[in-house]
Amino acid sequence: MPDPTTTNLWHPIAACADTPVGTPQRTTLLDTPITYTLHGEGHATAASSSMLPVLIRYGYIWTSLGTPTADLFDIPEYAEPDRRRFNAASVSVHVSAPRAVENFLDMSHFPFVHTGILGAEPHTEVKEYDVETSAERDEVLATRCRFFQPQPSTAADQGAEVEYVYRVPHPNCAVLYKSSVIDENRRDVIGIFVQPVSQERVRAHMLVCVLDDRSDDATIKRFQQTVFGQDKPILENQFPKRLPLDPRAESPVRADRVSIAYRRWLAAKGITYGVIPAA
Amino acid sequence: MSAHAWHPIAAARDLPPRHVFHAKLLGQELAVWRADDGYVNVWENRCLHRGVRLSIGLNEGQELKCQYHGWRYASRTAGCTYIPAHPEGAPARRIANRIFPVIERHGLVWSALETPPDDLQTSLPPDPLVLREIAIDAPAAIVEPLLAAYDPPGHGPRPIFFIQPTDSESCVIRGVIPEPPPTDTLALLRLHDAALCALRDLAEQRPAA
Amino acid sequence: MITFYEDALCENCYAVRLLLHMLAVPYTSHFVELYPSRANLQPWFRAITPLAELPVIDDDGVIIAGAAPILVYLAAKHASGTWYATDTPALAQVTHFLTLAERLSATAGAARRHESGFAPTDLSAAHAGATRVLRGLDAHLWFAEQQSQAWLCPTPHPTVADLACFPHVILCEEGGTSRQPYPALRRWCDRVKRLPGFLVMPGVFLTAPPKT
Repeated sequence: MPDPTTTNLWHPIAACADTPVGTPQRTTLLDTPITYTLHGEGHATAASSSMLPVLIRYGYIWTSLGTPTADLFDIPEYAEPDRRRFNAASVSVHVSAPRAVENFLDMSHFPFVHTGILGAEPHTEVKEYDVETSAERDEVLATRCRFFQPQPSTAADQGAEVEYVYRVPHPNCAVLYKSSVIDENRRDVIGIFVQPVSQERVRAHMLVCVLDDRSDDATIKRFQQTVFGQDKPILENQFPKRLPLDPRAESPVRADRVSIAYRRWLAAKGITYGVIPAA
Repeated sequence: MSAHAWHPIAAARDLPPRHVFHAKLLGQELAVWRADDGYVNVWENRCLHRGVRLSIGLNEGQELKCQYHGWRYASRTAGCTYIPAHPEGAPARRIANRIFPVIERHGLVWSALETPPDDLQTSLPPDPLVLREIAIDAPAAIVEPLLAAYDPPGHGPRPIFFIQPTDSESCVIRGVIPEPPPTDTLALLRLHDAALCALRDLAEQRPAA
Repeated sequence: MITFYEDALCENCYAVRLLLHMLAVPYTSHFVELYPSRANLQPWFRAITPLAELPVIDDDGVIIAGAAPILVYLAAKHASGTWYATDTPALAQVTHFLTLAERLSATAGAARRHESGFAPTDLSAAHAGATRVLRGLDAHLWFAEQQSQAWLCPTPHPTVADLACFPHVILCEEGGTSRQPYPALRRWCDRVKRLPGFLVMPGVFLTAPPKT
């Protein structure tokens, strides 16, 4: 069995929009085969060897192999009616969930992996940003992140310096908030909700919750799929596949402050699934 | 198969300029690349920043650039010379990828997991005819006896064979012909290639000991 | 103006996209998502092409479906002296590799679709089949290099044979098929990436520019 923290979490197992109503579906969560059925608006069931708790949130079916003690994290922006909200993609990746989350939190790779879209040389500098681990909210937060992007989103037709906030409210979920090109007072919200199929395999579900009055759904999806499709081969060429929690195992620099905080946070939670615990 | 022994891990011609060769020795993945000055680098196939394979990186002639964050590592020392996220500061001199010993000789590239006590000992001439390498999904222990019984097709000169142990389940046969006849080397290469492929098929059908 | 029905993650579409860019032939994209929505199975697309598979081009009313036919059509129309065959032996050679590309799709491609969660397959059979084809390609390219040839066919210029096979080779690791045992194939991939007009797709990295 995975560690208690991991076992008692809510985990995403499917996007509702990709799930035929009334037909049992199969997936795997934490090495455990799961059968689930979407019965209609807002109602689903799931079982492994016994019935499991289920909730539907942000357009996804979530379940747990244990007993979640808290509600799922909140994304207030999801309730705003003028946003484009959907699952951009559910992608299988041969890597651990924490590696996938850490990649989502990283800006330094933008000019090299997402060239011409989220970054471009010579604008490679990652300026100082702030990191906070909040015990009260039980999350890691990176604020005041700034990066120059040639094509920040489908709503943009030119490059801009974009402000990011990264939030990790769950060991396998991260949410980023980036300045909207449509309304400078609001932010686009993009989430990665990682389903740990096994310690070294995941299904990454990408939530889009953005302001865009010009692109159709397919265009926005393709943009996100292109970006994540560029990350996938990097993640699959990363070793070890499990995230090492020992600070001496890899060589972070100042730009990696949020990932250092994330690894410490996972260690403090006693997580052993998908990671290599510190010696 | 000793970690302190020299093993061939590539042919010299496997390392054209601006290419990164992906090798494996005794379970250790290696990124092998020739700098523009001819120097052959054998490094652990893992950028020590976040563990991404250097074999998907870019050989820019004097430096190897990691595909993930663009970190640059100098030929010979494997020291990190540039971190794009922090373009102003010089990287700490102690950030260096793990390097392995290398000898380029007899048309082959040799390395070891631990620096061998002695120089490479072979009776090979400087420039033999190097056969195409044959990668086999069978352990070296299965291949060894088959290779010992190898009958050179067409009664030609017998190659000298080396078995590179890539990991516990696979190996690579690297053959060289010390004194090839001066004509029709292509035909000779094809003849041995066909025979070695048949040997490979035999080895792969054998159950492991 | 060509209308190109394509999917952003499909290997066979990538082969056509490469040739369109390398020939600098203008086209309009019409994206048709293969997975997970299977938009290619919708009636409007079946009306264009009964097999309902990608890629498809509509060249001012001439509809052609399938990577190999499209590659041959475009090369013959725009660049037969280079990208296609100019004599009968060459015709056979190009065709040999176009059919090999289909075998790669059925093996390495099937493994990739399985590991992506799109379409289940017998993974070990797919890997075994991919290994057979990749070994053959690697040996072929090694002997080509021995004769100072850079491409799949013994021509000074790459042909549609190279573009048909390249996407399946360069994306095979997403299906769990490693390229590490195929050094000649890996060098050939670098050469393809350096061709003028080359472009990447998700899963494909650029290589270093050549030494000048």
